[in-house]
Amino acid sequence: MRWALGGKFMEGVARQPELLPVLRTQMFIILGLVDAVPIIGVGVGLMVIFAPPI
Amino acid sequence: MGFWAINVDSIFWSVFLGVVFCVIFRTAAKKATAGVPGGLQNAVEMIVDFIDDTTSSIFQHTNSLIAPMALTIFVWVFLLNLMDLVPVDWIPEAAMAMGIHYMKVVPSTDPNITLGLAFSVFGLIIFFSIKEKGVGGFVKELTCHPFEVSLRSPLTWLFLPINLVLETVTLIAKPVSLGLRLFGNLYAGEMIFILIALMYTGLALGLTAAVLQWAWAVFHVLVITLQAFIFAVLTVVYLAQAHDVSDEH
Repeated sequence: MRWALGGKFMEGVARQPELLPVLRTQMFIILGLVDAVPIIGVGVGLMVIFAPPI
Repeated sequence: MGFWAINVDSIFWSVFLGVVFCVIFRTAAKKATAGVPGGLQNAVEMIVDFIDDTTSSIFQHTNSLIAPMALTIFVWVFLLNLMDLVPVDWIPEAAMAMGIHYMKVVPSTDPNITLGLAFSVFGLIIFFSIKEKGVGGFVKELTCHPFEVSLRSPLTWLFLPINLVLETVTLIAKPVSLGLRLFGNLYAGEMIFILIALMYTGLALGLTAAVLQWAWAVFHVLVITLQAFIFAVLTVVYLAQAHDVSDEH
């Protein structure tokens, strides 16, 4: 998911270099949203291993 | 103690960092000059301008609450996350020397704090939805999207419960994902700090651990800022959606 996002971003910047800051902001927003799912998974997993709520 | 436990340490640090935020920004505002700005005023202006640009590009309606709230959320969550960069045993060791045997320094690793923030935003979403669209409009939005329900054909009334289920899931997913995203990122980050610190003992492995800790800390600086920014941006996006009075049908 993250590689596809980065690829599209660079393609867009290659087409219109003047949009670099705008596209970068949007890419970070979408990256954070997409990154949430695996990170929540890692967080919950670590929590269950090391500090399990009984 | 379970659900009704109040984590005093997290609350103390949250309030303390909130006060720090208010003091810094108020000092910068009172000493603001129209001439060449000093260091503090420059930094504060940069942050305020950045949040102002982002908010005005997302939120097209008029509401004087949104931009200051976005600024508060961004800077406060950033400060909460920043506590993760303090080496993980310094403050708890100091606290143990003073007689406090358990202290969690990073409030955003406490799901109570992050979900509390997220559900406060949820309350605001509901409040502004009902204020802008009325209770009828809000219920209509919940029951008439995404499948159209028209009064003329009673067959479409079958879609009412289906729409309600889908829209309720979307509505509840907003605060839950908002809170859990911040919690997951910060908890995983702190846990990795702790694990790297624990797993490498002895001089040679200790040096490896030092390099790893440094690398993870650099990455974590990005994660901290990004997560605070995402929380603020998503809050503004959800509130903009709450203000959207859509009248296409």
